[in-house]
Amino acid sequence: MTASSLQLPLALGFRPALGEEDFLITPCNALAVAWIDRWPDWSASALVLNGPAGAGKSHLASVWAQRSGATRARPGVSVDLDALVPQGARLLIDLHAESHPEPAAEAPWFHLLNLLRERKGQALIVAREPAARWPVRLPDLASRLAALPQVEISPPDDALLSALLVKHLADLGASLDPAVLRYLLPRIERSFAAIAGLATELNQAALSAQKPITLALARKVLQEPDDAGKRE
Amino acid sequence: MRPSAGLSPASVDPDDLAGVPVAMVDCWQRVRTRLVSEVGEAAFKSWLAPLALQDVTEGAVRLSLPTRFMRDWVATHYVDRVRRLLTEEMPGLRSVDLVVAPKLKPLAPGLLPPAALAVPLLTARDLHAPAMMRAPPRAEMNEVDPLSPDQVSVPLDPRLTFETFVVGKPNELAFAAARRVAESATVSFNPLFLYGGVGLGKTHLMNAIAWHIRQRDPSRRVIYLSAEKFMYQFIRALRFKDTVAFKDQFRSVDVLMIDDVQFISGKDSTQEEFFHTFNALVDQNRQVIVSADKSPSDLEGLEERLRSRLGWGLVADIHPTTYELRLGILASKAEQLGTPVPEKVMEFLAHKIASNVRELEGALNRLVAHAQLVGRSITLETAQEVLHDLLRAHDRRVTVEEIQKRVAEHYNIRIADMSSARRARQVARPRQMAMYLSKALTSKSLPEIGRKFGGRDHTTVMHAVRKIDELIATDASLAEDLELLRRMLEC
Amino acid sequence: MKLTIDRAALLKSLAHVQSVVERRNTIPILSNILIEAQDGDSVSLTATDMDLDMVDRVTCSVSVPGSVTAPAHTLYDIVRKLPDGASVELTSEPEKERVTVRAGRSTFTLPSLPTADFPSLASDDLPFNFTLSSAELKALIDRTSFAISTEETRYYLNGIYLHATQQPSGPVMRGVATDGHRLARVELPLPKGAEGIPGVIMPRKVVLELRKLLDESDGAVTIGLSETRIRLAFGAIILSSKLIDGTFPDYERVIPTGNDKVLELNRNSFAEAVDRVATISTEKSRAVKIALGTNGLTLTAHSPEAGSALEELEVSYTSSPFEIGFNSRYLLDILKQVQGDVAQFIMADAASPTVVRDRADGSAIYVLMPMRV
Repeated sequence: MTASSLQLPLALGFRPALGEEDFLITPCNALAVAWIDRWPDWSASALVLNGPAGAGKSHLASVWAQRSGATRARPGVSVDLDALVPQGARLLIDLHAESHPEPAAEAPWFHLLNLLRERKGQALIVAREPAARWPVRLPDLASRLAALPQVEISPPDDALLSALLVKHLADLGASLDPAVLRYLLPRIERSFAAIAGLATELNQAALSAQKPITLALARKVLQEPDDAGKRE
Repeated sequence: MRPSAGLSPASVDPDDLAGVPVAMVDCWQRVRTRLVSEVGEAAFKSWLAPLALQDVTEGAVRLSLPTRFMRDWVATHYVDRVRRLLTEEMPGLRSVDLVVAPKLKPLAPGLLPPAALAVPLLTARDLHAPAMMRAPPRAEMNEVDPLSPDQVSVPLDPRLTFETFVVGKPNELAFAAARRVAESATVSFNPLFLYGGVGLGKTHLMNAIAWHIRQRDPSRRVIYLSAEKFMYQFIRALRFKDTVAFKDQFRSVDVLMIDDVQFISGKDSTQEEFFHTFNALVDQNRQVIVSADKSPSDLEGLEERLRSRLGWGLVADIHPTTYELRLGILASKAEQLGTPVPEKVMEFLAHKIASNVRELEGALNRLVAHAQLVGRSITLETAQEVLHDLLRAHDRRVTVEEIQKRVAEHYNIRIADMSSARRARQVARPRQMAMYLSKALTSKSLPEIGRKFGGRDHTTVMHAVRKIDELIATDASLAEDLELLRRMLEC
Repeated sequence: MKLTIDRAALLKSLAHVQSVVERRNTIPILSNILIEAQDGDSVSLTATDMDLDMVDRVTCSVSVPGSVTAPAHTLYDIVRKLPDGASVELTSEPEKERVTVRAGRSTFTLPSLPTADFPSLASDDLPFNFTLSSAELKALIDRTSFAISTEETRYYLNGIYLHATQQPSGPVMRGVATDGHRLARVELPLPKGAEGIPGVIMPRKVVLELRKLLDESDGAVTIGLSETRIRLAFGAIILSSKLIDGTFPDYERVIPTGNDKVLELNRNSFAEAVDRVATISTEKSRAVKIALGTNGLTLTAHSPEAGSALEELEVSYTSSPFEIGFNSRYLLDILKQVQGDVAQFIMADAASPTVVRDRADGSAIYVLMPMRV
């Protein structure tokens, strides 16, 4: 209850800006963007978009969903696939943090892929791991997944790192001074997840202190031994 | 003096400048060059390089940025500088506006007919394929009998015909049997049972048979569907108490084709229904064609009487593909796609993706699409890169230690020298290379990389990265070493 | 222009408008107020800081109609120091760019800037018009304004967020404010004419000015609103301001709905105890710790310099024992707004937001983040 007492902040946030004009194209995601731009010419009834957490997959996917009028879908045992996949269906299947479909959902997935082909529908499948590497037990599904076109968002390049940090903070309602950004950039782990984590920590520290994100605050956040371990 | 295009980070992408007067382009180029020197290359690359000259009208300049938050950032931190430099170059300037111009361009609606959706990349050859059996438009679908043949049968894929089926030793028997059934007007063996592993071409043969029969005699009613679909339809009929119509539907066809019959194993009531349908059709001398992933006697979870029934006619198996057949399939597919694929790449694919034809074709599709997207031809290197998820079960996570080890081995120096204080050129340069690769291939922070190189500061790492970046452009042998090391580390 | 006005009436009106004028201004005209006397028996005083304008109208006797500007703070100081009951004469001398103030034997000559330089006030069309009672508006401001943030980089928190929404009881107008540590949300029945209003953020300065003025007013307040401006008219005053151009956070997300530990206590005795115990807590953190158990509530504070304090309270609490820390000032701010006898604390754990409400009145709820102590 002395210097160590710390006011915890409310988790204030905004709906992240997920519009087309909020998506930043850099070399690491240019190919994924090109595939999205190429739609509907995907040479298949589904495209798999994969990449590490925080790479902007869901953002790009929602841009596509807006453009194509796709509905969000999740094949599963209790899902009426027949209703889910009408003629010419466009589906967005985002696995989010889940690494692959659970075993019970494999048959519905298989049926869904067949229905898409049959009904001339198309789906964008979003996952962290390439579909060819999902540990799928049903051989027919595994083979169909492995044959799908597949595009990856690669780890962030330097230009994206700084833009991403600013964007994450903007989504949290915080702004960043260029001098602080210059300080942070050479000192941070260069991965999507680390950038998102850092933005959250900076924002929380600033909210807790009711101060802007200053150089001193940034320094403190980076040196926190606990948090350095978490960012590993 | 104008900087030569492509070398300076400030050079303008000519595509961004359509419709802007040439004098203005030069002026903008000068502003960009000055911006680089004023804000530094890193900040320029992140924020100002994407600034594009949108238009210029009567002293008002509109600059665009690809995203909203970049626009906000530049508006907050850089717009005064940009305005000052522009005003110096263009004395009559009244205003500078920043707008957002997303680079993702929306497609014009209706650019492609919905029917083309699932079969893009059509080539001339595809267009000669028989007309698709069209499913009724969606609005009508609700009104028609849910069990009309168009609903029950799966639409055929126009690409899957006998003409596009590549025949080789492993599949010639199945191919011959399929052709014979498709061509004969009478039923000579019933059923035709095709089997083989996943993705070896059963579905292709099934489609080809259906196309051929329909083409030869459009009056023959052919139903083609997968066993799982048969099951779903049956369950639906049970739920809607519509089994009579269901039975009538299936028992009044001339040819019934069921793909992947293994899907009804363990599903007793579906098997029962299928068994009766099967018998009824065979009794009426209608053709039944069934495919599965195993021979009838090996199909587990299927009732004995059905298993033996399935084995009564002609049983033809498709063996796993041989290297030669895979090569043939790739050549045929490449021709269909109308894209030249180097022989070396095809040999590589035929060698590496031996599991099944579907994946092989999928891989080729991906390569072709990738080549079209990046506007470069297919090479062995791009094939390895694009298909890395198929070729390797895991991506290796390279560590700084491995990089140090490889680089030390390559230059024949001691690993200890990676963290030693020695500054002799023969150890300092490899150390810098290792730092460069550590930054490129791991996500470790620069201070962390520095620590692993004998507790060096992050500025030392930054210096190394910059130094190697410079040398890549001038020192060909170093660039080659670097590429070699990178490839060794990545695979 | 020439007019005579009662000192008390002028002082009251000047006190209102000079408060809008910033102490330091880079644009000289903004240090001045505009005095306009039309034919008849009243004068209007106008002040602006370019974002916020205030116009007040006072009765006087006009002998020569016209207008003039005068330095706001100086004029206010002069009138303040004039004797009560005095009659003040204001005369403009446009050709000499000055204004004269006479009362009894005192004469002041002040520099004046051309009236043409005074910014013209925005006269936007305000599509939404509705009325709130002075009491309603006061309650809305009092229960939220303490939570307004002053951290300028989060400008979108520097005000009260007003919007309309639907509750099971019917349509309501909501006022919300947060500084990232606590949040206050107040509801009142949606007034007629406010259906479909945009969500707007009313800047802190307007809120504070308005609150001061409302102490002198108990009539209705007429409110005009667009997406970018608000205008409030009551008595002889019209207050008009730009709204904060920003997006208020998705605040519903931070109001917990699953908290299950309910603590009920007497507002007064708790507030007094918190105040006493907090005497010991460090100036910087003002932390107090609450320990809840079957025997009631124990409030403690300690600091290395000032020692320690402990006080026990009888409360109603039946959930599992636990400890939680709060900033004592935040507790007092909220308790001050609880009107009934019993305050309810609805909690989850020592690291999650706590909901505070008045057991007798559901129209306001407060969310408070704990301190890690």
